[in-house]
Amino acid sequence: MRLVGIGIVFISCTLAGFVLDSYERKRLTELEQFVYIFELLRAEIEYRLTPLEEACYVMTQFASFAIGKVWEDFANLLKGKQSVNVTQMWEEALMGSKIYFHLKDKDYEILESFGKACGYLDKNMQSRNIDMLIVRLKEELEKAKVQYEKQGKLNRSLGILVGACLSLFLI
Amino acid sequence: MLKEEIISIMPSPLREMFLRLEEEDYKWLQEIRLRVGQPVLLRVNNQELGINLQGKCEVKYSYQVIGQDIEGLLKYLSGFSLYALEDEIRQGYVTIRGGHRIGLSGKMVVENMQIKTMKYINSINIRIAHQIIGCSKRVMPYLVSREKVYHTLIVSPPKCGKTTLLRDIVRYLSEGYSGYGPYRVGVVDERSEIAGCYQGIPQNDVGMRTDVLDGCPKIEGMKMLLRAMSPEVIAVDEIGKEGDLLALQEVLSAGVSIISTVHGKNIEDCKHRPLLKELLGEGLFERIILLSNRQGPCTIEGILEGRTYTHLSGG
Repeated sequence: MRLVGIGIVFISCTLAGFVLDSYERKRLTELEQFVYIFELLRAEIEYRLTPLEEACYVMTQFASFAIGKVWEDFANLLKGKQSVNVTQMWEEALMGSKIYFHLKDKDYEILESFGKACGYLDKNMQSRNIDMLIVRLKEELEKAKVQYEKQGKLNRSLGILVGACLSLFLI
Repeated sequence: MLKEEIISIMPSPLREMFLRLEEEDYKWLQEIRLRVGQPVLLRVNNQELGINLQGKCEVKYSYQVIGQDIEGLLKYLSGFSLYALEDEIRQGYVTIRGGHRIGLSGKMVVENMQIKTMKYINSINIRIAHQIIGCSKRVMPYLVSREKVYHTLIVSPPKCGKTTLLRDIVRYLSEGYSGYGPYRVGVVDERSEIAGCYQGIPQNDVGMRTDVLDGCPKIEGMKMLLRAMSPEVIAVDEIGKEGDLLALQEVLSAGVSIISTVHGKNIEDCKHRPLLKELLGEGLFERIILLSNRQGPCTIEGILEGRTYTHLSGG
């Protein structure tokens, strides 16, 4: 019985390390996808002058489920025309999918800035708004990558190590 | 459909007001005017009316427009994407789903003697496009023969239905009229008023053999259609700019028939305008249709033979 308990403690600690690692990895993937989608959006606006609602629907075809859902919700809110406040609509769409994401507060803060200058400016300003957002996301992505490289292995090893220590202590 | 199209661009509380208008009012609705600080004005069946939360009313009880109404309407009509309408705003009007033309006025931003954009938009005029199926039935016998479709010019003052008539002629030619045709028709719809395309698909009935170049400048459009779609007839709205003559000549030399419209009260009026004078002087057009609003839109005042100006049919 005691050995089973020790086993459970060891496995739990190890898994916790891997879960923490996977959370960080998923955050990286999501940030990368957002950068990709915003680059596509910029191209849609610059090259085809596609209106926002239509462009958002186009983005859903290129995004993963969670990110696609943000764009789909945003497009539906724009289509519904229940408000004239685009910032609010973007935030609502973003927050609606928050449960699927592994992003940090800082990431949300950057993403929310998209809605603030969205829609009412000319083509150049739209592009610049998206450019700035992409730059900020990329910066965050770089930081996250460096941190992940440093901490990824540490998280995994630490999980095993803490598990092993606790097991030894219990023995 | 028209009600939906209008309501879809109205912000609250205008939306609630326009929801109260009856279908019959929409049927006769010609124009909606919104000016900041002024009452909303509707033109319904040539009568000026106002509107408020109870529905249509006398002008003195009409809702006073505020800045946010205009701002909201601009956001809605552009789909929150004013960048997609930069060119249209520069020209002072935007065409929305259904082919309705929205005129804008405000402060123009000029850079290097060129209009860059418009800001502080304070006045909006929504001109309702009405599709009248069959309105060209009376003129069709004069426009077609066994050999060809005659090069035709529709001359009309504003708001007399020249685009409506042109659209119906296009539809007849494309579907075939009384044993004549059908023809392959190309439409250069510079302002999306003829076909009223939405995301590339005509919202108005322009016939099954009609190819539409939506939002395309006329001169380039006519050349593109010639090269790409091998039309038998090309239809364009509102000619009269520099370069139109050359483009028309190119179309004619390719053996394609032209149906076009121009602003003007009558033939004399057109002759006083340099470019039109040249067009008419060269005898380019074989048929000239004169329109007025005397008995409502699309009242045909006369159909003239294009070279001699003899009346083929009176009003």
